[in-house]
Amino acid sequence: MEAYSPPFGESASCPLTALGVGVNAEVVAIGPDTPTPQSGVWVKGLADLGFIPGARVRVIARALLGGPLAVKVGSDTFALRRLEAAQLLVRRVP
Amino acid sequence: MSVPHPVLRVALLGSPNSGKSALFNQLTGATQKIANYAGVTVERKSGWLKGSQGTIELIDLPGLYSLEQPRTPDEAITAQFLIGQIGNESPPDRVVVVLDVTHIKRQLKLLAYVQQVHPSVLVALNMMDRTQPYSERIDGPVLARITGCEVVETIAIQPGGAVALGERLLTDAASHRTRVRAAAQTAQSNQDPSLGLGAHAEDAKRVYERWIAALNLDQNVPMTRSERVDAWVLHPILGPIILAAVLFFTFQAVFSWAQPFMHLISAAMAWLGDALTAVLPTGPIQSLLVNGILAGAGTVLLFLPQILILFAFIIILEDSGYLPRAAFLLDRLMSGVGLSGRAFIPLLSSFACAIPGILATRTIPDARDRQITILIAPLMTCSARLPVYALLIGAFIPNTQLTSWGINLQGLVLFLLYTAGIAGAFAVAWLLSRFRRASATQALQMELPSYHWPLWRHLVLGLWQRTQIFVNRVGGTILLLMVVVWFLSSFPSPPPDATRPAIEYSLAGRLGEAVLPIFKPVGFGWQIVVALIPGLAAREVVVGVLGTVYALSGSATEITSSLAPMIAQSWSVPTALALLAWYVYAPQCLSTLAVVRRETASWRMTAFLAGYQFVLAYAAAWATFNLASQWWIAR
Repeated sequence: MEAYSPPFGESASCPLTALGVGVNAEVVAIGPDTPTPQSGVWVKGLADLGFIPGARVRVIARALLGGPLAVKVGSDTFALRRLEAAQLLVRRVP
Repeated sequence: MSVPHPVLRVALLGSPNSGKSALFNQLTGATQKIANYAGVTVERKSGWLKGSQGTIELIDLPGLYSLEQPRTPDEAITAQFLIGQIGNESPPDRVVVVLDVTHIKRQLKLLAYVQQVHPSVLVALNMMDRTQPYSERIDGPVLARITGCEVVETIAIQPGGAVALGERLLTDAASHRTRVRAAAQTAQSNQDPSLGLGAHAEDAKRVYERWIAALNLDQNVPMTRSERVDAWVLHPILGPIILAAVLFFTFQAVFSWAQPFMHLISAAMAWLGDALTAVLPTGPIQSLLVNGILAGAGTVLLFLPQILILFAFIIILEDSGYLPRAAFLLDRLMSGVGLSGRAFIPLLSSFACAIPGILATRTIPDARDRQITILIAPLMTCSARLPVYALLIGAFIPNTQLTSWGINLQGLVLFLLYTAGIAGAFAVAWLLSRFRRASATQALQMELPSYHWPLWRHLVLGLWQRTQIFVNRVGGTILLLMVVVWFLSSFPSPPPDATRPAIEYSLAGRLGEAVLPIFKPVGFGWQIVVALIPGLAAREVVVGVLGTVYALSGSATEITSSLAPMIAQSWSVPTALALLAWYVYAPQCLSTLAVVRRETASWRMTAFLAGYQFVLAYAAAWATFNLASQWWIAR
């Protein structure tokens, strides 16, 4: 994965779990700073589904009580559990 | 059928939900054959496509998202099959990659990958009937130009939508064969097995990125209609309410809509019974036909309308794309008891029958998760239990309207029985997951496909298949068991000075009496015990056996189709409730146990399953019987 260096003045990034419903965003990076075997599996699966740096995403629903998120990536929609979604670092785009 | 020698072997490959299997069905029709790949329990589905130049063998590979690092047995098989690493199967001559044009972006990655490992790739660009986010930019010719693959446009859900693909495969089948075989062999020898498929990852990624740029796919997509519907359906508060309403409505419909049809079947059966009694002389033949077959197998047939209504709902919910949304809404609950999100679909299939449910667990990557799902799948109320529930509810629960707008008590009780099964399953899953090693949270990563209008043709076809399966069961296994039960219930004949009904002197009667002490504490009479034993082979038989047993115990005037009033007279309400509770958890039919044995390859697991279900069923029946008896006396 290439290192990400934000251009000057760009909005801050946050985990996908912190993104509001209906907000357009872009994937900045996947995976924690210190990968574990478990996060490795998640990251690989997420990349297969199209969650790669640069992909446009939007959270379309959030289940109650820490349940999964429904996330749109390109024209696909996937349900991700919170811990999986937390692997994705995103930033808002207009 | 003799197996033709194929001139070409073609594999169909694609993501789940790409319409791959629908294309396969269109192309091969009735020639399909299902076997297992050598040494593994992954199904190998193949069929024949016949043309003037010879026959093509089509192989429907399991759906997958990625070849690079397979995560489930199904995905691993697909990857190995492509490069000819399974048993002595050579790699396919040609690979058809099915791409759903409405979700083209992600699927192009798969295509890029397959192109790296196989020399002859044909693209079926599917769902060309649907408006898609990139309609103005993507069609067959454009994709062919950019990817360099041959592209055929298809519409898998429309009759004739696969004709072009079939023709393309057949036209150059013969000449293709030699050319491709040679190329495929070169490809295979170039393949260093120690590197695995991962070796092509870098190349595939580069190609994929080039395509995405060329097709200009890298930008925000507009709001779709599905997303607007999801704003309601997946809403944190409204979503669960809608889900509960949908399920509740389903069970109400099973009872209220089926009534007229059931009356019709029941009247026909009564007429047939009277006619047979009138025509045939009194004796064993008349008894076999009227008391054995008609009162037995015939009574089971009565429940066909209810089963069909249940399946109509399941098919519509599945086709519309609602089911994965239900899984989304229930996922918090599932992860709470330690279940993988992928367990939802297998568990849902188990409402039809536990066997396809257990087979569907193959999509669960983690072995331990898969085991737990297999162990609880039989607790989901399968359609074979519906006749038993319907008979008892019809006989013992008054058909009271609880509200002016159509909630009735019978539907409510049915809903509760299904809920009891689900609650039991979750409790068992929770207990089992307490014993597992350091628990890792399982991935969900489940696709929520776009909504579709259900197709009438598909619904009618699905219900017709269900009818055939059910009628074949009634005419096959169940009929056979009923003849055996009739025989055991009729012989030996009672002594001439008999004072009690003849059946009590028969083998079945004595067997029932012998096992009775075990079931006395839960309130079952010997007639029920006689019915429970053949019920192990097929659950619906219980209803049939009760029909026969009571027909044989009664006087000659009471025959057929009057089982419900008869048991309503002779059983106490606590007994009926206890039998319902028993059936929520009862050890399942022998075919389910056989499949569990095959899938887990463990007798211990199979015995554990049967054992815990027996204990659970007995405890539930005992508690129900005693509580209900207390309440009945107190009243």
